[in-house]
Amino acid sequence: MSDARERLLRESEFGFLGAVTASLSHEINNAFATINELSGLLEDYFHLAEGDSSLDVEELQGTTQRIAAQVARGHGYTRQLNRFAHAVDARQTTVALHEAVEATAALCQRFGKLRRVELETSLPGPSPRIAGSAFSLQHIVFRCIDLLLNASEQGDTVRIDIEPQDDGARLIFANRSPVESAAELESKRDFLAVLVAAMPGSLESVLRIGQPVRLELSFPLAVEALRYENDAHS
Amino acid sequence: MSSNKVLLVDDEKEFLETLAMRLKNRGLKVSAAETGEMAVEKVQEESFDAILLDLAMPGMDGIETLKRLRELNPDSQVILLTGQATIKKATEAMRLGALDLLEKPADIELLVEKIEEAATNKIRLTEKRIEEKISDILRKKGW
Repeated sequence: MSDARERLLRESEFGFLGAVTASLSHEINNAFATINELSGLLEDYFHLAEGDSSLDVEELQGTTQRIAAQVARGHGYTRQLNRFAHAVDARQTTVALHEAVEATAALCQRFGKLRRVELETSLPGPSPRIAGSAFSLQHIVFRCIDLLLNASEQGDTVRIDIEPQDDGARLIFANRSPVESAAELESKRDFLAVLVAAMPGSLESVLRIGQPVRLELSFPLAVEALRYENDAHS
Repeated sequence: MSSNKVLLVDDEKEFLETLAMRLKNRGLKVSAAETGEMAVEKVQEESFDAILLDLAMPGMDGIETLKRLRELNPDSQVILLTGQATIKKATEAMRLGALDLLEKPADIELLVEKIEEAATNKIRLTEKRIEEKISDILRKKGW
């Protein structure tokens, strides 16, 4: 890989890390902010009830349940953040495709929400294992979702499907919005092709003005991928 | 106890409802909007002493909403209340005329203080506009 391409890859990886941690920390902070207001509301109730024994027990129970729900929400985000941090641990191993795609789609939900675009995954059957690191795969999935979100109008849905193949799996990203301007999307697609080839894998795409976007990523199964690497080295 | 009219704008429904309730407990008249578009609609219908606005929202974000609110009424007193205050965004918001920027979670008493400050600013600006209008009438009539 050339120095310029290597630099682009590093920048993209750091961009991915930054976007995900900023988004999750924002959500965790939102949960804390709501807990702060809910506990403040309890204080208000106690203050209002001073000298008056008619505390509204139902109201108080409702508020403590809302606090518990926000704590669970915050806990969900910290678990996502923790799993994401561990994706960097396992470089150069194999990765379960469904789990990595699902985890990344969950990380990207907020980006979709901000653009008012739904993210839907359809991952039937057992999860195939492909060669490569979880982090590299999540980076690729993130860049695919980012490309599709950039190409989607408000109210659209980005669908992510996995189709099993004899010697691998095909990962498909598609939306419904017609492409209005292709230049920026093509540049993102070309960079994606480099990332996918390095997994190893291959990318086919439909990126034409007036048509919805479709990206098809094919990855060989882990054993096949290892054989592919051995052949390349022999 | 203050009875200022406040508009809260935030896409976090639970946060919005709870903060609204706490401000009402302190005597304020509170309206709530879950999107920037809803906030713009409400400001076209009635006047508020202060607007508490989130930055990161789906659709029309906080910066765009701030621009629209200031276009509708240049005297709008907007306080940004956000969990994602990058220096770039904060600078842009202040340049667009936001009164202040507070980070979530914010202290409720500080919020009430800022709302009162915003209301005082608004009265001062309204009085100034009335004075300017009267001076203009007097000048045109040659009195």
